[in-house]
Amino acid sequence: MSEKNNDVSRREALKTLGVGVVATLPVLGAVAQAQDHSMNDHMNHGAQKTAAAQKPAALKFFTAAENQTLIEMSERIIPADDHSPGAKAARVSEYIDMVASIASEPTRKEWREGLAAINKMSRDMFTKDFAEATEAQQIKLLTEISKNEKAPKTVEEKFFKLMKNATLDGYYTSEIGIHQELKYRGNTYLKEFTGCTHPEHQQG
Amino acid sequence: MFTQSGKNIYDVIIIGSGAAGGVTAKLLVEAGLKVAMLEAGALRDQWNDFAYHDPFPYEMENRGIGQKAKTALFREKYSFIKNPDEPYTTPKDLPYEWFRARNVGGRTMFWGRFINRFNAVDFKPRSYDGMGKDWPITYAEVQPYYDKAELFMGVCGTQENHPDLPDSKYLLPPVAFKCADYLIKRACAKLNMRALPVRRAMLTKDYHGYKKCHFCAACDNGCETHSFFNSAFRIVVPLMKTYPRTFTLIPNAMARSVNVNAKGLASGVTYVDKTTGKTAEVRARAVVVACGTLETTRLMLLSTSPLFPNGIANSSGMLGQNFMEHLDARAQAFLPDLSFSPNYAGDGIGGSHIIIPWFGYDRPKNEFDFVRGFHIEPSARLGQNPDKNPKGFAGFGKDFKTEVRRWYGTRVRLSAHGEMLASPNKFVELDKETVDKWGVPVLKIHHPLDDNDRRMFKRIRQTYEEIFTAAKGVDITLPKSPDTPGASIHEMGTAHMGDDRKTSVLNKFNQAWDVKNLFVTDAAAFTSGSHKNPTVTIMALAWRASEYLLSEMKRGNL
Repeated sequence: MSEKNNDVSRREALKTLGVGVVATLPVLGAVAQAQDHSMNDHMNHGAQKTAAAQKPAALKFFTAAENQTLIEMSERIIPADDHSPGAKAARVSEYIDMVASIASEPTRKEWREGLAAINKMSRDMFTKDFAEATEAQQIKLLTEISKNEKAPKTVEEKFFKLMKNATLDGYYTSEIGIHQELKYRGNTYLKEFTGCTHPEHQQG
Repeated sequence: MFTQSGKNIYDVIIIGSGAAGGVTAKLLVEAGLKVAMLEAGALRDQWNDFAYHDPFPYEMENRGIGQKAKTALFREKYSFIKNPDEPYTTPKDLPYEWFRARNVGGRTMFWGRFINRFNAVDFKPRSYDGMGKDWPITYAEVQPYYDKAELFMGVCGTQENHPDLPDSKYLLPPVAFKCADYLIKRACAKLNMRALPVRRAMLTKDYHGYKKCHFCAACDNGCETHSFFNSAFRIVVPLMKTYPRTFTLIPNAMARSVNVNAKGLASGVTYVDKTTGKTAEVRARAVVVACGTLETTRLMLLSTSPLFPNGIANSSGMLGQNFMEHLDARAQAFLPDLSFSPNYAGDGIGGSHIIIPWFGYDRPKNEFDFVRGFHIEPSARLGQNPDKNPKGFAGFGKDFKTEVRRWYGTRVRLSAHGEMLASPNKFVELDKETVDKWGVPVLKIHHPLDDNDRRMFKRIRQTYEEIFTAAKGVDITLPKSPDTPGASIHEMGTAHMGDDRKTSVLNKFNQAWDVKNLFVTDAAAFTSGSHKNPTVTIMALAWRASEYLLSEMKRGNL
């Protein structure tokens, strides 16, 4: 769509912007360099992400088995759909591992014991760990523990709330969540602001 | 650095570098005067003292957990409400939030850039409804200066022939409406209210050598193209560059008194150099005070002498009186009509793209149980840190994900500024028991709400509900009370102009009645406050006062 055409290439922005800035504000000696640096920051959001996306980060807190459970459960909470990739692609489990690694001791305990409780529940229900269960089985379990989301009581219910909040935080602060799922396009250089293009909003 | 000596005297000292100080400096320096500008804060480095944009969370270490955004850090460094070094006091139970900037450019480094002219009624409110005070000037007298200020800054918008908002011939193209703007405009139309394209000091095309807005909408972080008008990089720094011999910026200089000579004329300014704590004096043929209303009045109250024991130019006793700001309140709702179609083009120029001017001019006067009016600034901003689950949906999975997307970008906020009347209960004075870091008495601010304010607040709240209901909003959150006084950051009056030297501090040219070479060009000079964002009026009046000062100097009267 037309939104694509509104992106200014970095080179172009530097050119058009640089002329204006230098002509009007030759204040500091290192303007050109500083300007290039600042512009680079402003333009290239997420430039590093492609390289980082190559390999998974080393686990800081969870075990490999626990991590597998996090990957599966986060994907059930925010799954891939026709619109965008889900929590797994957005590497929400890495986010949760980071959060747990810097969390207080009681919160860490909640994570570890919650995961153990979920796996026990899964084994009771399906005779296998959560990560080994089928998608339908995982959804069945999550449906069970999410019933009292507003006022969770059991360890499993409390864990669901913790896990859901962390998944939302991780997903909607990720590049996939912000740009692919929600399609946020601000905080960058745009040639024009096109505004609303929906006839249904403009009638009347 | 410049040291003051008998022979090295400036033509004019300007205290303050914001909207008022900036315009005054521009006019006087360009006319050939030798000017010193004192600013209580630092000159921010263009490339190192602004965030420009904050990284997205995924670009930050630990997703930003436990870290403050760069913008917030800069905001704390260069502005504050509470600061142990620079306190102020209020009566118990009457809180007041006094936002102060300490950087070259003053509060224009943080402002919302709304350009709303006062109209003919705003200058003569007493003639209109019998309350408050008329200004000693008319809209017709100020109109050419509005033109000049707007032409200088570059203001986007449209001509609308609205009774509340005088038109301008010099507007840059308006900024496109967001989806929510159309819905709010339609809702207003149902209520017999008009919503107009906003007028803001934002360049929507290249202008006077500055690039047009690039629509990153991160305006709060600073604007590297200065498409967002600010006094530092659109006035002060260019003056330093062009007039290095006649324009001197003295940063980190906290003025503590305007001095008078034996003839009762202003002779100079004593200030504290905040970097060393030492006191120094600069001298000049005239002094312009433009510290940002309340700081202006504090400085004048502190400037005592045998001739002016109650503060310089205060023979009327009105210094500190006639204090006004704006009545602020805000509301929000979610508009289901925006579902699945948030504005994918970004956040535009940041903040409002439309404005709902005061609609009372088209109504019978008896429709309202209060005097004066308010306007509403609607905004629908997505922001780079998205609402994760604003409506608190339960559950998980595809349906849940879809619900989050459905409501993303559907939140609309309404924010009003209402006119407040001056009253004997609203004033500022020196609190001699409390001193700042440099031992100087601080201000005590008295700003109780009155009945007119409370009645207007009810109507603002009702109007919010009507607009959101007409826009089919859900989860409408209405304000329980107005924002804490001071929230508008629109302090006005306390050294106001008038026709009579017995009842006002300044004449109609912002010149002190008692001290002819002393001028006040910020909003302290305001006689009444209207509900309009004050900056463009400050700039217009500073422009007009500066022309008058120049002509008086030319005639040998100063």
